[in-house]
Amino acid sequence: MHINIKHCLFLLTIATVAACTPAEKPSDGDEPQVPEVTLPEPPDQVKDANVFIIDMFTTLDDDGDFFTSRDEGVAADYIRNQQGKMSLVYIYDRADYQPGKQYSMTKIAYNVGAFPYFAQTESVTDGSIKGTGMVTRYPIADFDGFADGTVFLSGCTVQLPITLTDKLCIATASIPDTDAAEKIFKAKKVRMLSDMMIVGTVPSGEVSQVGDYFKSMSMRVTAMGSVDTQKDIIVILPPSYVCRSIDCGKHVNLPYYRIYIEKWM
Amino acid sequence: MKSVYIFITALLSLLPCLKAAGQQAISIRVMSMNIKEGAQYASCESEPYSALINEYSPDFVCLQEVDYKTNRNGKRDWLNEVALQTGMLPYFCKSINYQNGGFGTAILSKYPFFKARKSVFSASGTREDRATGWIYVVLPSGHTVRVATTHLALETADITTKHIASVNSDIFAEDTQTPTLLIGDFNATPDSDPIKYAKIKWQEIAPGQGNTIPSSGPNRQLDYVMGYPKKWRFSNYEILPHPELSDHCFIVADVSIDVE
Repeated sequence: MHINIKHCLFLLTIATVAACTPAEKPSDGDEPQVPEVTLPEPPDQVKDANVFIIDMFTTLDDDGDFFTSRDEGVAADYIRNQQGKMSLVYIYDRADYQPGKQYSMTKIAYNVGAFPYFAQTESVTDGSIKGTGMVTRYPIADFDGFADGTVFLSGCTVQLPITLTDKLCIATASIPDTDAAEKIFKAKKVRMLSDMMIVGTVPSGEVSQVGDYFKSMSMRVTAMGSVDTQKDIIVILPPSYVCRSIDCGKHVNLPYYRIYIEKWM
Repeated sequence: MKSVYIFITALLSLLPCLKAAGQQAISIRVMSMNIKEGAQYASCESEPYSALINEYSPDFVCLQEVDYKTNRNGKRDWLNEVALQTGMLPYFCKSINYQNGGFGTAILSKYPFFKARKSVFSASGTREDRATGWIYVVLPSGHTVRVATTHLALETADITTKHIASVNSDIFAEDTQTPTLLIGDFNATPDSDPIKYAKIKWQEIAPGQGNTIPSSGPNRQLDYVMGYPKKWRFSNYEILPHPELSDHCFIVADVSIDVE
């Protein structure tokens, strides 16, 4: 009988983390415990057929609604004219929503024949609500999320266009510090360890601590930022996925980061 | 002894007030709109429906019979059009692939939803699959509500009842704590077995307010605003006959519930 050591290690990791971390609805005062586990390393060689792409548009600064000084038509052109492997989800950091006003994501989705979603990052206010926009080509049956009044997370569950058939919830969140990271993991640990990834932002000064927290919970973490921006991108993945690279670019005046994820196990 | 009895009685009479002091009422305005075969009555135009929604400015609109880019609606993205015209956020719950597009139910929300799900009912003896969808919203007050849209199967009373059981199973498997509204076309009259069954779990928030079909002269009720738990109230409930827009009357209702 053939025994796959990596698979066994992976299962052991999941079992250990699940056993050591608190339940989905923890009682007050519950502190997550740090399991002593090492994640199996993914192979060096990338299998392109198991790679999918997510595009995140962001200035990495908290400088107001992304589309105040940018045009939704340009964003729609980017999606419409994309060549080669298409992005699974287009994420727009600080695409804020104001009730009663036309929402930028709905405009983009309408232009390209897609579906718009909004992941709030703050409580509802009388005016504009800070958040992250998402556009996908698929109607989403499962838009999973979490909200506790201060921390919010939402994401689209999609069928991955790769050879290893799987569904994955691609979620987004603005994670200000490790307290927020802990709340998110406590609420969503089962999915996060199996079929939920987060593409979000973290203040640059906090990225190391937030990243370390998720790593200690057996998640794979990749972060990217620059010295002159307020925030970093953070990509948090279940152990069976790996972030292969993040390319940055600009479409007209829309700065974006193209994230390549591989499901390796 | 008598004075002790009076004291205890007075204390007990104050208890409801003490409890009420810890509670807060959340009030929301909802609309139900079965738009009949992808808005065929209005040549699939979106503006007349948007104008009506804007007139009433609801927090949530529960839609049934929504087409997404079908041949019969001229490949229109009807829901996103209405979302743009009303400034609301859309959630489309596809029931079936239809005429090279999709057909199903939908919700428009004034407030962001952080979670949304759909449950698709499929059973032998039914003409087609049917989606019930729901969203979770944190209201400006900080309280969370769940709003669901449904269009129940109509082939037989047994199938409609089975469909309600399926919706109950999926909705309450997820959560029994959050105040919930289930709104839409139940395809059953108030005295029918399916509605009697629905009311075991759900409260018809405004019973006996009037018939909803046909819109040209309503003679029976098929559309409902149901709530869970059975503590909802209504302060306003209007049936809106618009024969130029649908065979169903639309409903607009102001509902509220006390929450901790």
